[in-house]
Amino acid sequence: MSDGDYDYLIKFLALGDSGVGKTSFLYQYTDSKFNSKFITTVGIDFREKRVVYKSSGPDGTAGRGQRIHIQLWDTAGQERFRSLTTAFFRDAMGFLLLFDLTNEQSFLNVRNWMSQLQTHAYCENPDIVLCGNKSDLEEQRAVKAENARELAEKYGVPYFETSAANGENVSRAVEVLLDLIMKRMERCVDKSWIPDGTVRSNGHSTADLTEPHDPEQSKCAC
Amino acid sequence: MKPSKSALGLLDLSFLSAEEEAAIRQVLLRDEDLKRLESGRVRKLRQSVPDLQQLKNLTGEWFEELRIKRYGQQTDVTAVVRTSMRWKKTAVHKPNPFLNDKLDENKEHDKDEHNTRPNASADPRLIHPALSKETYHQHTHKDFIGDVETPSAPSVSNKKEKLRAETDANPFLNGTDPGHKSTKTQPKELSGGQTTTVFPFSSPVQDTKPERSTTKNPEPRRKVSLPPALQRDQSFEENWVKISLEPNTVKPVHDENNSSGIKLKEVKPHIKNIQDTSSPETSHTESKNVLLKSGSPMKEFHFQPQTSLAFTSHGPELTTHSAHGDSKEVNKFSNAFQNSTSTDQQCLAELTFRESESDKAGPLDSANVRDKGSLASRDIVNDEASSDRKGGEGKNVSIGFLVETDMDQAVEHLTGEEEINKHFSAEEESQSPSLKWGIEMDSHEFPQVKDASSDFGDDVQVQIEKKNENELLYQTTGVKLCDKTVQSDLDSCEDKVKLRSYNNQTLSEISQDIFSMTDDGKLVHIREDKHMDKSVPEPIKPAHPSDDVAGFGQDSSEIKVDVDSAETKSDVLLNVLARAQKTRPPVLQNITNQEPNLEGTDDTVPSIVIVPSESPDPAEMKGNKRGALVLEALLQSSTAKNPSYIADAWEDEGVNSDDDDTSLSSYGSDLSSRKGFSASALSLTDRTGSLLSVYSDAGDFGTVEVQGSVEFAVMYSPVGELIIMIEQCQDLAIANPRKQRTDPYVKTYLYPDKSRRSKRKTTIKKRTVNPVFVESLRYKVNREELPEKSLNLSVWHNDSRGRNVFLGQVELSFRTWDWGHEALTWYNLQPKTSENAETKESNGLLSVSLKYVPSASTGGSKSSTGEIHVWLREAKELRRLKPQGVDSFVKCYILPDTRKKSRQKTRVVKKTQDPVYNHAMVYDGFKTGEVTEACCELTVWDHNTLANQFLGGVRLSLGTGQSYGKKVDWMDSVDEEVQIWKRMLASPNSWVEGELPLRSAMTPRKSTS
Repeated sequence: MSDGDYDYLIKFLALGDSGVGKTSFLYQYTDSKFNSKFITTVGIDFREKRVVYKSSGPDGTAGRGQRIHIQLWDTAGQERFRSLTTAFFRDAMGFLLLFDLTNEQSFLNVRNWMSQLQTHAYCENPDIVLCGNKSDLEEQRAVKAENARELAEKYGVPYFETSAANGENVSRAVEVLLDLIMKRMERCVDKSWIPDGTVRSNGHSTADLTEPHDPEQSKCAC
Repeated sequence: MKPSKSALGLLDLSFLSAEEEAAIRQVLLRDEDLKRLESGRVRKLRQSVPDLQQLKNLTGEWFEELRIKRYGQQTDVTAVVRTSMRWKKTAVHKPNPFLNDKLDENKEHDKDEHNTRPNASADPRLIHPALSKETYHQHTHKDFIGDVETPSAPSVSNKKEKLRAETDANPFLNGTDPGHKSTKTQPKELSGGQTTTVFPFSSPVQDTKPERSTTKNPEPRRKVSLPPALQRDQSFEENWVKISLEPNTVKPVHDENNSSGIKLKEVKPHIKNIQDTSSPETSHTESKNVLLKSGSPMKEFHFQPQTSLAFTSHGPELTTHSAHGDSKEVNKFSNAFQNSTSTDQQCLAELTFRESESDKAGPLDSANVRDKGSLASRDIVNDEASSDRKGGEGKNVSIGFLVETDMDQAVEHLTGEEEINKHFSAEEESQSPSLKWGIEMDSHEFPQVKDASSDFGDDVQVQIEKKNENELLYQTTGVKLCDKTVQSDLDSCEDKVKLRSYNNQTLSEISQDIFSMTDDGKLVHIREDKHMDKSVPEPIKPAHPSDDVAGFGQDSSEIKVDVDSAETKSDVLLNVLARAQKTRPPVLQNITNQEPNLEGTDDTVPSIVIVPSESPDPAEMKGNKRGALVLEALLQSSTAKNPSYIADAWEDEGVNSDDDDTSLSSYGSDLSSRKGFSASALSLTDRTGSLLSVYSDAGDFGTVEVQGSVEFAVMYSPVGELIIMIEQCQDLAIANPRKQRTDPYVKTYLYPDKSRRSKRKTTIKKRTVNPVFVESLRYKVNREELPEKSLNLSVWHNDSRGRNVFLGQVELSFRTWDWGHEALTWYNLQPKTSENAETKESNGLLSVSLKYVPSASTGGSKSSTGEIHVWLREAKELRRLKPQGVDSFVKCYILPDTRKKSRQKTRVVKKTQDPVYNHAMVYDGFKTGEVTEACCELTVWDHNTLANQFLGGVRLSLGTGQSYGKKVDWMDSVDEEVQIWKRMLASPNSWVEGELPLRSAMTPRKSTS
């Protein structure tokens, strides 16, 4: 993986409260492993993965596999690292906003994180996927699925209940985010893209996308 | 979306602990690797993908454009973070950007940079002498007051800090005072008062010792901050420059007794002496005496009254001497490195000593201190320095090193001190900023420190973190007993230092000479002080890497963080020492080699105008060998005055100059190959290509497609310096395809000055297309002058034969520069614009007349040989190397005779791009047919004090490519050059005139067969 043999370099960033499982989530995604030991991330870290992406859109690229090298930034959730981690926001093309289903506060803080993103990301409406992690700890659940979905709708972002421990929806969440990015990219470069509402609907192919996207959110910055 | 965000400014990362910072750096490095990979991929894509839109997608440009829409052009986040880490403390406390940063940085850098960034150096921005002084000062007060109660550690560390910070100015100038004996000065100093400060760099210190000693708190503490530059090779010359600018600092004082350079050897005995004397020497004087008296060993050290830092077998020891006879504890951490590490200086910070005012436990004599294995700090310099100053001479400040072992009781003793009085003499205060270097060691260079620090408890770290930058340094939690590790470290350091000591001494001795700065910004040794050891080889050996030095420095910085750790401290100091040694710029070597000889070269340029038809003195003629140049006799004065043939040649040939093409000279690589010229006049000279490559000033011997980028930062420091911090380059082209290698270095000019004075270069990194420099290049320039200037930064491949290859450049105009933008920024390398690509035309024209007088066939005893008369009329439109006009002259050789004595020169015509020389020369001895094998090489030079710079040249010949049957590359005349020669031959005994375009480069005069 240390060669330049890929077609796209895509950068994502995982953010959320401390302890929600960002590092584990990414580790699960890249290595398909889970380590239950909690080691707080020092400031910032990243992992990489190489995937092949096939556009599912009706445009001509459907079916052709694009080699994607994904750089997944893992940010520390601790407050003290905030200044450092937010600096990295602007470098990411897409975001995985995680909260802990067994921790209500982490869910309540999603709002704050969204606003942080809006402030520090490369544009005001970046592509985000909301993940309620630790879905495997059903008995300790503190956040209702419907509440989470509601919030996701409000922000116009896809929502997944994931588990870094058993891998549930981990890959899917990332793939959806990747798809969002790729679609946005194609739209952006093509200056003649069509207005928000219509375009957006092309990009989402997963069933989990609960709501049609908020036009705001799909507005391409270009 | 319009840009709504401001630039990502520096982050305040003061909350990060050392380990955290290290971990983050590792991450950043991994990211850098990925970025590098990506940029390589992108580059290839740009070449291969035609579809712009697709290209944008593939390269990620689509994203960048979006981001730019919001934020405008931004520095890369990782760069910002890195920079922020360096500025860790400064982000919070603007005024003190350097002091603490360096310390912390050292730690951090050590850990992770140690392996990855070999040349990490202190960030020059962090070292701001003026600023650091202040902070240091503040800190001192604060800390000490607070520390009174605490175990000595804090104070000790503080002191260390201070000392370190105090190490001002010329770390490398040995402020040895020949007549100075600490003894005599001690009393004076002590009487003054409580604290004495050790000023390693006393240079400007003018006050008398007593004054110094009396200077106390009120006196602003000198901060010694070693300019990061000093730590780097390259910047050395700038540092030297600074020093030399400071009249006081250049202190040749060379005292046998106080030789510059710290020799551990000497230290030891010294200490031992103290120990032996044991006793109750509370009296500072006494102890001082002891120290000094210990025979020769102590020579090197200049003691500041109070304490001395010495290395003993047990490691550094702090001996305290009471100032007034009662033992005031003086903790001095002096950097007694005089050694030439003066060059290294940075590492050596003078430790400041503080006498404890409180009386702690009674007189703490050095013995006591010693017993505890405390640090002995020596205050070097100063007394001598001060005495020197009295004399009004600048004093080389000796450099002391900060060596600290654990402080335990010693520290305790010191606890009583309220603060380290930095007893800096007034002069020190007045020392030019340039002379002050804090020991802000770049953490990159203190690997040991890192290790050591890791041993330390978090509490210490935490403390440090919490402090503001000032305090950071001084906060210590406790003092551990000196333990074996420290000692062993110190021992090893000592050994190293010993090894170096000789060299150091050499260098320091040399450094004691008066140096003056040349136009090129090189330090020139212009005269020798009487004390100078004549046997010292001229070249200052810049590279006596004393790892110890670095070690010390490292240690000192480490100490700041962790006073407890004895290991750390000593490590730091040792590292500082080592670094100091290591970072001596190679340039120095060359400088001294060449400088002395350079003087006066052009003094001998003849100004007589020879009437062409005059025939030489028959006697002379007879003596001439075949092809000998006739006018030798007449013009001999000029050449005869040049004692050093080679030097002269070098100088003219620009050997000294750091011309790209002759960079080998500056790096000393080819000096050995520059041999004398063959004696035989017509033999094909075997000049090395390197020498002759000099002829292409700013020439580019390669045709390499520019690629890659360079990361650097630009900042202007209040002390009147423009600092370009070169970080690294990425994805450079392969300059030598045959060998598949690139040995890059970065060169800068501050346009519009294109002369050597304006040139600065980094070191050369071998075999890499992704060199990491972390070096700073500095220019002394006034703020108001900046807008009219622009920075030309170019990356070159250093070829061993001097045929350097241009790899790309970046030009920044300061007219519209945002001086707030000080972060490291990546710039894509650009090819040479047509404006600065050297073309023949751009070098001007040379107006010359030639006459060939064929050999007369006479039957007489005196057969007259053929003659070539060369009448140099004028030159036009010469390259404007200097804004005010060049000081040009022309040199003439009739090849293949390259003997010095065959060379003729015009006088120097100053300050004009269109000089009129009106100088004629006659060369005789040409037998029939020989003229066709000869070539008249005329080169125009810009005269500078130390080294002349090539402006352009022509070679007049038939351009046959061979001479006397041998292929030579100097028979390469073309066009008008051949024309005029032909015309000359075709019109014997009459003048032919021509106006020839000057070549920007001339190939080496080697035979190619």
